Order: sequence, then structure tokens, then C-alpha cells
Amino acid sequence: MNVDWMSAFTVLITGMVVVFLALIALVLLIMAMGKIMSMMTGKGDSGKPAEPKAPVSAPKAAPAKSEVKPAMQVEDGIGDEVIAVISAAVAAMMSAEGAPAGSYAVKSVRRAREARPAWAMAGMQQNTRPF
Amino acid sequence: MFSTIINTIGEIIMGSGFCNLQWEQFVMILISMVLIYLAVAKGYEPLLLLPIAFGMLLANLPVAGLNSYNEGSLIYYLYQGVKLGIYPPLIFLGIGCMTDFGPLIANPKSFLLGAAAQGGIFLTFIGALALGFTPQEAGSIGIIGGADGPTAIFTTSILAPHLLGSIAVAAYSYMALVPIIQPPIMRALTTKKERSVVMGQLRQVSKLEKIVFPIMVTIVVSFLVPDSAALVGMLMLGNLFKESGAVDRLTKTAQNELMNIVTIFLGVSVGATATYDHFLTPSTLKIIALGLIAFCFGTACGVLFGKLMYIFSGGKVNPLIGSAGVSAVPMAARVSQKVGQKEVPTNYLLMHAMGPNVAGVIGSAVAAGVLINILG
Repeated sequence: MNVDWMSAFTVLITGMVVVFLALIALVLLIMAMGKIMSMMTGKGDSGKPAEPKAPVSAPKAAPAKSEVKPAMQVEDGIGDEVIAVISAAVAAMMSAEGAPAGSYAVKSVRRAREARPAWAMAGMQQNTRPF
Repeated sequence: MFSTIINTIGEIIMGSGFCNLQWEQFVMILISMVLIYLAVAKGYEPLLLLPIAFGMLLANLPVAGLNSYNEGSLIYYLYQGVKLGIYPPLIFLGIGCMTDFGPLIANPKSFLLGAAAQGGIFLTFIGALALGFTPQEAGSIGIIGGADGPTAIFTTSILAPHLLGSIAVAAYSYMALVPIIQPPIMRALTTKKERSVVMGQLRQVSKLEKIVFPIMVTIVVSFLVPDSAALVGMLMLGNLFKESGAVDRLTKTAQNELMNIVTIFLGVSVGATATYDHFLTPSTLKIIALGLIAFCFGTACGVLFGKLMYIFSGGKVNPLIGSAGVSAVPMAARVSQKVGQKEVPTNYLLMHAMGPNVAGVIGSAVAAGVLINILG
């Protein structure tokens, strides 16, 4: 058995270096893209872009802001009952994940604009489950 | 006249499989039955293992000659899609349609975990050389550690086509065994404190970012490693179909009908490369052993790099997500979730682990490109 260890280790090292290089390049580019995106959206809204349906502020940020308590922004045409239901759903999810009550707040309620309707999504999930 | 009938019947009997069966073919048929059992009863990657196992059965039928090497047989023509490197990129197209790169875009650092877990490929390459394989064969065996069936088949079909059967069987069997192979390694390499890290919520990713991502990855990866352009390009085309939201019909076809058709062709023709003279060799046993080592090394490299990120991030990264860097989407991410949840039941690592998991797919495609470039 005659193994050329020199070239074997060359493959090992160049392989890992190239894989890391390629993926580090992607890390940097995606980070740059994320920065540009947040700059672009940051000009329009104040602060972070809100979640489409019922944005919940991060648990850590909430206590500082809770003193001010800004009014909830509600998109036109959404009734009080719907807001109550959404708030209840948020509360149920958050308590299931272990967040204490009062550590978060529903700041705004907007209609979600989804690329795929809920039924199409359900159909796709059913079709793709085996994979 | 009577003697003619006897003669004809005699000829039919002599030409039948019963009289021409070699013991090796019998063993191969038994092996294929075990694999069919594993696919059907145990659910080991049945979508691919079942066609592969039946392809093995077909290839080892005496006299019929239904294998991938016999020019003129049905399977020979189907096999051309493997030989010419057509099926694996088409499978990647479908996978791209089903993959959400959101967690990776939200936390791009997980790319590094996807890269680290490819260490298993290159370490096993060295191991395979030491066991006496040629560099081309060793590269194909190492790629099993990428835990990515199409990538393994694509690389092997270029570097060492005679090993396709053994490598495909090893790759898909171990992918099915990820939930058994990974947890002990993950637990051995991490402390209870590390496993208990709860990671913060991922940021929301905009649609524009999701559309730019596949285009950017295709350009960057294909410029750097042109040999992986076929795999990465098709993966990203599928993803662009999905994220653009503009071509729902194409997305549906690529991820359902096209993918299923190609899966059948790929499975049967790869299985049919495993004729007894190619499969019943000592090298198959070595490949199966090395494949397991590749998986273990890949998992270990991912977890160790995760530990590194844990240290550098000041304890914010749970090292368990590192093991998901070996691809095997989404099984490996689910394993991270499960092991993490054993320590802290309310810990949801799944989305965090999906980042390295899909990065692993890109990482193993890049690693395959590097191996093809150097060894091809």
C-alpha cells in the first residue's frame, strides 16, 4: 500500500479551507444584506418592522417600555372582538412558552399579506410531509 | 415429436433462473429483501431505500441482466441519468422548493456550523486512503459524511461509479439512523450547562431577503467552486421558485411530480448498480464502516464548532445545533431539538438548528465540488 500522504493532507486542508471560505463569504454578504434591509425599512417605520399579525415585543425590551405604554395601533376594519381573540391567542402561546404575563405587549394589529393562502399552505405541507 | 417437447422443456428449464442462479446472486437477493423490510416495516428513508432495494433485486436476477451496466436493458437507460449527473441536481431542484432558508438568513453565523460539519468528509477521506482505497474512491466514500444522498450519488457517479451501489446504500441507511447515531456523540461532547442554553428568538426575514438569497448563493458559490454549480444552482432555482411566489405551478411540479419521478428513476438505477460482483466485496464492508465513521466525525466536528461558538458568543449559542450541520434535512435538526428538550423541556432549538441544517446542504455541495475538482 502506497499512500501519498502529502497530497492526501493537501486535499484535507484545501477542502476545509475552501468550504469555510465559501460559507464565510456568504455569511458576510448575508449580514450586509440584513443591514441594508433594516436600514431601508428603518427609515419608513420607527424601529423594527412589526410582525404582520400581532407583534409581541421581546421580553427583555418590554419592562423599559412598559412605563410609556403607547396606544395599540390597529389597522382599519379590524373589530374589537378580533383584537380580543388575537390577544388571547398571543397570551396562550406565550404562556405555553413560559413567558410570564406582563413581560410582553401587543403593540399593533395588522392584516398579514401572505404569498400563499392558508389552504394552499396546508395542501403543500400534506404533500411534502414524507420528505 | 415427444422428444422435441421434452427437449424444449429441458431447454426452458436450463435457461431459467433456477438453473443459472449463482450463490452470490442468492445472497444479494436476500440482502435486498432485508433492505425492503427496513424501508417498509421500519420506515428507513422508504422513498429512496425501497426503489434502491428493489433495483438491487432486479440487478441480481439470474439471466435477466436487468442491471445498470448491461447495455440494452431498461435500467441501463434509466442509469444514464445518474451517470451523466442529471438526476441528483433535479432532486436538488425539488429540495430547494421545499427548503426554507429563513432561519439561515436570520442567523447567518450558522453557515459556519454547516461548514464545520463537513470535516467528517475530509477526515474520512484520509481514513479511506489508509484502508487502501484510491483517492477517487476515498473522496466518494468521504462524501457519505455529508449526509446528503443526492450529493453523494452525484460525486460518486463522477469519481468512482463502480462504488455507487454500496455508497448509496450506506448513505441512505445512515441518514435514517441519524436519531440513533447522533445523540450519544452530542451528549458526550457537551456539558449539561451547554445543552441547557436557551437561544433568543430569530428575527423576522423579509420576502426580499428570501428572494435575493438564492441568487446571491448561486453566484458566490459557483464563482468560487464551479464544480458545485450544478447542485447549488438547481437547489437555489427551486428555492427561488418557492420564494418568488410568482410561479406556483412550477414550484408544485418541481417539488411533487418531477421530484417523485426522478426519485424512482434514481433509486432503481442506483440500486441496480449493486450487482453481486460489485457489491459482495470486502470494500463494501469497509465502505459501510467508513460511512459510519464519516457520520460520527461530521457530528463531532459540528458540535465542537458549536462549543467554540458557545464560548465566543458568551454562552448564547447552544452547541447542540452544531450537529445539525451534517445536512440530513430535517432529521438532524429534529435530533438537536430533541436532545435540547431533554435538558430544558421548554427549549425550542428546532428553528435555530434548521439554520446549520440547510447550511449543511450548501456546505456538502461545496465540499463535493472541491473533491470533484481536485480528484476528478
